[in-house]
Amino acid sequence: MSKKMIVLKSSEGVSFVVEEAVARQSKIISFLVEEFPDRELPLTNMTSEILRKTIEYCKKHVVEDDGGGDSSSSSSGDLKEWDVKFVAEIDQPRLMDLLMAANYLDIPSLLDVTCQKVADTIAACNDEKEIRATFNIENDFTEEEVEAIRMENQYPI
Amino acid sequence: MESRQQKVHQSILTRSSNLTNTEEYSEPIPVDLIIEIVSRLPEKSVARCRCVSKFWASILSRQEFTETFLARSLARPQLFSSFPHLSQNTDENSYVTANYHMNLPCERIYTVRHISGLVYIREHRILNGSKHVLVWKICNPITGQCFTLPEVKPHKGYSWILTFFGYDPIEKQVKVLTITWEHEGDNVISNEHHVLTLETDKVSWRRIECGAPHSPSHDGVCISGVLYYKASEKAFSNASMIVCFDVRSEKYNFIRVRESSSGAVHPTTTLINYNSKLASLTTPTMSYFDEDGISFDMWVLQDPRKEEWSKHSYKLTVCRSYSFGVTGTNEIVFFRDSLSAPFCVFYYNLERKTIRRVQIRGMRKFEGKKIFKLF
Repeated sequence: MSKKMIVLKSSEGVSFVVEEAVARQSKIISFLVEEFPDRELPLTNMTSEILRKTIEYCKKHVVEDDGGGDSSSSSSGDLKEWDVKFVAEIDQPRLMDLLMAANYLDIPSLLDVTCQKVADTIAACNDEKEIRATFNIENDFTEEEVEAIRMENQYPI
Repeated sequence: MESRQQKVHQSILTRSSNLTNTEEYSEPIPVDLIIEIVSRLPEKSVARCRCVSKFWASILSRQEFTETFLARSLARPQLFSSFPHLSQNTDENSYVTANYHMNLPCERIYTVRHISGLVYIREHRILNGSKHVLVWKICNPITGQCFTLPEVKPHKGYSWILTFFGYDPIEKQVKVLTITWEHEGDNVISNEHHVLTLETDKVSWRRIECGAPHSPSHDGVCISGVLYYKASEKAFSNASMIVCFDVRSEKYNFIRVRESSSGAVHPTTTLINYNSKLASLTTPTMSYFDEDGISFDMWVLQDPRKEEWSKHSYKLTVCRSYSFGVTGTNEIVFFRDSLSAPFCVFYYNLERKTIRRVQIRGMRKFEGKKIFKLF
């Protein structure tokens, strides 16, 4: 029996043909597939690159229920290791895009792994300047205001 | 069908409209994602994040953030709110290093409690070199801010006073309940109840009516907006009921405890939150020791309306400690009251009935001091 395929279209109009079981890890896609069967699903705010990454993640994490012997070849330990490697290879701006994609498509496990990676990145920053630089955030505090927050927090920041 | 379709479109749109301050910030991270990410960080990094921008500072001072942060802290066992990396999967025997978190400006501490991310400290102060007073001090361990509660002034004189802390998850408010009472012989008289809502603008006590004079016992727990404590109708007698104080409506309910379940309110029990149900744990004191280890019971209130409790018995074979507490993940933590090397705590999982030993490093300079523990 052939597997049901669906088509996802990126913001650049590139079509990705994906197994339905793979795409259904996204709660939004899962719902859209039921509502609009046999239709291409346009994901207008996802670039091809991010969509490709998201599909790569979903392919790895899919649990097939066809009763076959090799339905889920990865153990949870292997998967965790794979996840760590997966997010480690992505640069900061793309990691943020992937995190937003996981949020947008509602893929809880991908959201969890990307949030954790971002949290680890922040934890590795030595001060607030480094956090701003990493996330491209503009500083709208004066030195005095930062000092006041430091005092309030009572931590050697 | 139409509405479901709209819902999806809305959720997609919401995502776009959630992008905050896109004009000012080139990385438009939605607020809920910032909270999700920062709540995973240790306190020190949270403090750094507050200095990033005004927008981040405003998000991290929201109640929503404090709650998420607290929920994550409770999901992993902590002592002194200080073991951020101790996970559920820790091996049977393991080591963690305690982080020195902060120095709270307090004199002598009598007792420490916590609810909704805040720490409540009963502090003994000596005023003008002679007058001894006990005050409640409330500290926010994330910001380091402290606040002393005003003294309650009951209408009538009293010999006994007890204070409980409750949290209403709907209005997101912490309320303090203070009960003062006097007795004549065994009879409880002049039972007064005062409530204070922790708000930023006005903090004052209000008197509320309870309707049924009772003598409360010091131990209480707040679960899903209801504060529970043991009480008796007569002074100086064993508890015979559980008082349920609805933190939001400030109304009381009373659960009578039948003779067959009297073990649940025995003086040696401590009330705990077990899977969002009220439970009562017998304190495993030295008298419970036998050659094989220690045993203790847990009573779980299965149906408050029918006043039905279930009793569960546990036996531990390795642990010999003197105090215990309960984490947010249904683990009992055993430890000694004063610090001695090596400082070990034992986590007993009530569901899996497994125990693990964790040795805490980095506590040497506090050796011999009394410890208060928050999980």
